[in-house]
Amino acid sequence: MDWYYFCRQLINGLSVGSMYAMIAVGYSMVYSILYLINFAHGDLYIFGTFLALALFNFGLPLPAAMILGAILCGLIGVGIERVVYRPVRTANRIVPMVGALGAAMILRTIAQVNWGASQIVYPSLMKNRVIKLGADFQINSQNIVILAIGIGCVAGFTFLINCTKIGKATKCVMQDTHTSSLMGIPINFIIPMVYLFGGFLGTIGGVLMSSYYSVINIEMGLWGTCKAWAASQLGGVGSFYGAFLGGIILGVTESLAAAYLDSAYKDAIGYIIIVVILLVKPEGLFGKKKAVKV
Amino acid sequence: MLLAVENLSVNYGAIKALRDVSFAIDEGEIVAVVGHNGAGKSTLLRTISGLLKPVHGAILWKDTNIAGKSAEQVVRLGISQAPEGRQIFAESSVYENIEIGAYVRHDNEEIQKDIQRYLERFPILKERKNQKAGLMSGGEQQMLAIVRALMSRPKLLLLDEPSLGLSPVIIKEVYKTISEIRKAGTTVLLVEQNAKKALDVSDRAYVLANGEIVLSGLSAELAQNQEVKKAYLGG
Repeated sequence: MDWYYFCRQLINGLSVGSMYAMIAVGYSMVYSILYLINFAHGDLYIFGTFLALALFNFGLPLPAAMILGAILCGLIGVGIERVVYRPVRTANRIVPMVGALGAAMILRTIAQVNWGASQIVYPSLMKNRVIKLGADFQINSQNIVILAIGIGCVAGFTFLINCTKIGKATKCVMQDTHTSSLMGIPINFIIPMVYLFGGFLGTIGGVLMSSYYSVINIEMGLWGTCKAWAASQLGGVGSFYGAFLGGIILGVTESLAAAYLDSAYKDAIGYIIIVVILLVKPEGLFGKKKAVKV
Repeated sequence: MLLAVENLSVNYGAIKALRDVSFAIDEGEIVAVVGHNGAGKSTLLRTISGLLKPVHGAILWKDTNIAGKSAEQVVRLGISQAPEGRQIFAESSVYENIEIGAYVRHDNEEIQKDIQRYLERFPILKERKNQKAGLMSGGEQQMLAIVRALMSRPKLLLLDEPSLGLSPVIIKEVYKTISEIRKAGTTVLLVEQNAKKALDVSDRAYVLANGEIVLSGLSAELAQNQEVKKAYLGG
């Protein structure tokens, strides 16, 4: 067994996984509050990724374009919540789901008109350096940076949710919106914040992903949706850490499958593992079982 | 009058859940609303709290109509609710549950003092303060829900079926707490299916049936009323 090779693939998987995770978090949090599968999230984050590219072409350095694009994308998310989801918040869950599909279509069309339907080369976020840690053990600095950003996001989120008043309130809203409003928590402020946060992190993930693979395409929205949804199912929908760890596990599994079996099996192996885990533990690895009054 | 409800009507979809309900609470009272399952008791509390909007009628809080205000605004006015089925935040710790009850307050030192005081009063909550609240028993969760509601320092506390699903020993404990709350200066509006307990602890009571108030009076007198005995106290 070649341990260097294994470690390289593991680091690769961890960094790909943390990109999945950043996209998955937006899905998972929105789901846990509103029981809404937010189909617009995939098209939203790729829209943000395109926005970052546009800002880069406008002359901004890519890190700045990424952050600005992420903020803009978060604000678009807030707008969608206000216009599409809030008016039907208490309606049957089918209604906002259809609304989400509609919002996704609109975003996708705008993106397609502006940036075209074909693949575009995406600039890289940073110069990749090969770090030599021994004669035949080397890692890419890009992977390390992506992983560090992922860990930074988890740490930042953990701080926000546990140590700030608004974070603690968000934790309650994620569990029960009605009771939260009985505590005086302004849910019509908290819920848009969750959309802002989801859109922001999603775009960061999207830019990292596109610059990692050097490509962007409107279809990557749907592709990211599948990965992110799989990741949050795996970790347990509704749990932030579940979504994050689900993303990491998916990324690592795919990378190792590609390395040791065949890269063609990459996607299939990831999903097989998910099916197996969900058969054994239907609420996901870190999911919560909810007692629902009927 | 601290709170006066006038001709309140509330619809729940196509169902008329409350029809022309009027009643009032004075400062310092414990008032009970008793009635069977489905009589509209929870609807009444949810409307006062701002979770439901009335079709018509007024909710006068110190002579100002607050009908139609949002739940967030109502808590800030000094009306707090411990909802039916307790609805504690199961994934959060006991301590976090208590703390979030003070969301509308900004006097951090006083909040800490209140938390310590309640933890001393309810040793079981102190013992479990770092545990997930969902792991506690029903009775412990009820105490937590009441403490959480008190953390906003309400003038009026709304209690929705505090005895629901609890054993007689625990119910006794809960009702002892309700008396204490009044002694400490908080007015209480209590909604119960358990009419016997509710009439025992309250000064005055209203009987709600099919969305309408059908009887009212001093609790001690209602407890002797033949109709009430037959319909709500098991003969």
